[in-house]
Amino acid sequence: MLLALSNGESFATGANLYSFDPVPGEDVSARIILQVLVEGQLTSAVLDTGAPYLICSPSLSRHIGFDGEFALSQHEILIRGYRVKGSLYRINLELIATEGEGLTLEVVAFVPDPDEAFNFPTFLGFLGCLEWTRFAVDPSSNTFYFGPHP
Amino acid sequence: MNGRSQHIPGTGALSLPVLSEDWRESAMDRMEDAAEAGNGYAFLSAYKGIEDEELPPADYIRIIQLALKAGAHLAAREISAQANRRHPSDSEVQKYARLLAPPKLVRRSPQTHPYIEANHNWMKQHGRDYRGQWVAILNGQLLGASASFDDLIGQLNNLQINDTKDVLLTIAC
Repeated sequence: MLLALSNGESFATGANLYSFDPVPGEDVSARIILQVLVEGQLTSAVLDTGAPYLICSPSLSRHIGFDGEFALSQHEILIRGYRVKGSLYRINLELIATEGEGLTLEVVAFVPDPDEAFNFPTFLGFLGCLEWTRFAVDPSSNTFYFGPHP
Repeated sequence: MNGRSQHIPGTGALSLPVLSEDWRESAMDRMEDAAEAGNGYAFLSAYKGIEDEELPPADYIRIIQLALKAGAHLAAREISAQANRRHPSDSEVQKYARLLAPPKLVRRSPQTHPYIEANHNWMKQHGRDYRGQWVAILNGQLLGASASFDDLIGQLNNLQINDTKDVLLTIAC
């Protein structure tokens, strides 16, 4: 069952399962990890509302073939205190539904340069990515609810 | 006022304030320092001094780049939108404004994805065995695993899988 506001308006129009595990690396904090479609490619992504943009590994983005026409290359950006060089793109992200409707959003993506040794799953940041999406989690069923901003 | 007013020739009227070159350079220097230090607050403070001024497109581009470097990502978007309002025909300014604009809803997809639950269950049961490796999973079945993404794609090609859209490609957690 999807979520609704007290006036009957839908809050969430779709829901998906998530896992709650640490991401490989030094940080052992468990993270919400969802399966999503990045430009139509199925992958998993770590919810990180403290970071901006969708952050995608260089090898995966190369395989998908991000459109470089509107890309901004050779940018140095600060993410969570780390300075990373890479490129900014505009791409389609689909929040997949196992219940209800999926939601495709055009978001800002950042791809670190190959020599940045970024070997992580995709990250879903807030600014530029999920900021116009309503979302909620139910930890009792590991369900991620989402819906479009009205 | 940060700048100086100029007389419009032949009218005696004053035009809008023109930012003094020194003041602009000082503000740019402070933004450069803030970006180098990764100090978003210092960047915003420096930018506040010139935000109402008319700047050329190249200055706006540089300021947006510094905002990104300083971690002031929301400011980078707002400055790119402001630059686009002031210089709507400048292609570089347009590019930044378009790229950093807020996300947009493209469409809703009525169908659910068939493999999610099976993939989720595989990750739950086996993910830790492959932690840190790239894995390829199709409907709950492991197709390949490697520390190298390119090697993993090679494994899929050997299985005659060239279209990977429905294959979950990720780093196991």
